[in-house]
Amino acid sequence: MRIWRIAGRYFEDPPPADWRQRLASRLGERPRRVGAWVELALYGALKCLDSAGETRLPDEALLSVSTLHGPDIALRAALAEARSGLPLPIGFLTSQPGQVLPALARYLDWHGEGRCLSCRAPALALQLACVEAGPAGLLAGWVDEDGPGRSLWLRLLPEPGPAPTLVSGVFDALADPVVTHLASSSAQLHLARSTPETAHD
Amino acid sequence: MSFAGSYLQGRGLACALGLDLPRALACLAAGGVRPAPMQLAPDACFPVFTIPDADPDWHARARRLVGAAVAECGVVDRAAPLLLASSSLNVGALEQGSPFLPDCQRFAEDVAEWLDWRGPVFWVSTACTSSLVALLSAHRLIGAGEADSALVLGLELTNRFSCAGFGALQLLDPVAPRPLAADRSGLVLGEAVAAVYLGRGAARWRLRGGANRVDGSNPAGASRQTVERMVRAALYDSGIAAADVDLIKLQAAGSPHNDAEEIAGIKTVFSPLPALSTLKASIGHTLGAAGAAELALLTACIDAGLWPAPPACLPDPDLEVALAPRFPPRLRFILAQILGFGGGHAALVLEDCNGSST
Repeated sequence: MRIWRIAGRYFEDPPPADWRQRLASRLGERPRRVGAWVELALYGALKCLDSAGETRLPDEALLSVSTLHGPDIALRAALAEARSGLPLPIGFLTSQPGQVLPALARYLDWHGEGRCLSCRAPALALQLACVEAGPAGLLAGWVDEDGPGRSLWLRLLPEPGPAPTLVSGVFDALADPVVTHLASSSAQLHLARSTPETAHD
Repeated sequence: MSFAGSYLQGRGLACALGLDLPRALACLAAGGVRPAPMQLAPDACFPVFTIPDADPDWHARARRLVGAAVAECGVVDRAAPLLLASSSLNVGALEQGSPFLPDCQRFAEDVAEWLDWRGPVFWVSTACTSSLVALLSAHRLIGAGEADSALVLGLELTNRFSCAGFGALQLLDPVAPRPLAADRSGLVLGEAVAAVYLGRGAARWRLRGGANRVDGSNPAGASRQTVERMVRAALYDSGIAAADVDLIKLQAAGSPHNDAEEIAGIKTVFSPLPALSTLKASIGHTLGAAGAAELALLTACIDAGLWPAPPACLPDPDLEVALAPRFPPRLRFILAQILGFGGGHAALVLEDCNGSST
């Protein structure tokens, strides 16, 4: 069972109401040719990389985007457009979940291995990403735009040092900054928490 | 490098050539089928390869085709992971007036319920590469000891929306697919339900490894640099050298840009090029199902000693390549590629454990 250090985390749920403005400020412009769901993914991914102190995602890192709804709002709009003929190209593009990957690739300056997937339990997506990631680790996100929206992200790196003490945990506990490490196996999540002696950040 | 490999335990396929693999092979041997026109608007009509099942009820048809493909595949362990790979998911049902489901995972769970599936269920959506990406995930779950087997189900069924969307992007050929041809002008979409069951037990076909690379420079197309990176990574992951590859099953869907980028990319890795093949002229581009559908069809063709003959097209002289007209003299390692929409570039390396299959 590989142990991962949480090198970066963005778990603000929900994101601030003005997240789109903040994203545009961060990038210096509104992202072009992407829909709101992709923008939300991008907002969380960049916040997570900031938290990890990285300016770009290394090409060797795996990128995993998990969603239950995907670009559902854009899909409904594009389907309505297509009832009487061809949808607008931008409408069709923004309705496709897989388009989140090239958009993130552009803005994270990354050319690596990525997937967009859906599964009921968020810990399952994390388990799959941990299985597939290599030494450069992974950036994993859970993104949905229903309600106030959700864009939760973790940047994980393999822990090269001594194994911390892991105990069984739940996905939502990853929001707690004292959780420093995780391992995932057989759909079980195991977490390590910093103690006053080990806390360093 | 990954572990020694997972094995192809079973496969099932419904596509334009037939409702199962024996019928598909018989149809292919008899010359194949032509795509049928899909009229989207008075001035928009595109050919589509459709599965020969005329049931107008999208759900009933989907359920029957999925059940048949999985039965043909011969799945044993229904507690294994199920990876549903699809671009369009249930859009065809929505077009018929079915209500939107509470979320997109719900349709994947409905499919699992049709199959009495008890294992974890994933929907993989990376556009055209979906089922190759899903196969790679299944392979790695098995390699990591997280699963003993896994089922990848590629599903792309008739809907106007995919055709209209690709048409709006001006990516479709209005006549027929012409891979690598001088007059190629785009994709022709197709339907497929493909089931591929991977496991540990030794079998004729071994999945050695693969790679998946995303390129954000063109959300609708491939790039030669990323093709090269993908191929090199797939070979490394599989523990083989370029010279070991006997056949490349290309994406080669007939796209003017992507076909050229794909050939330019592989030429940087292979010298000389191994034999080349494509199945897009026979079943169309089946989008998210393409990786699994083409893997099932190609391995079934080789098992049966039937070579998928290239279409009768004038090759593009600028590409300086030709599709192989017959079995290559040696056939052990196959590189199977899917490229395109969403900047996806994915490849798997298959090994015929029977050695040379000609």
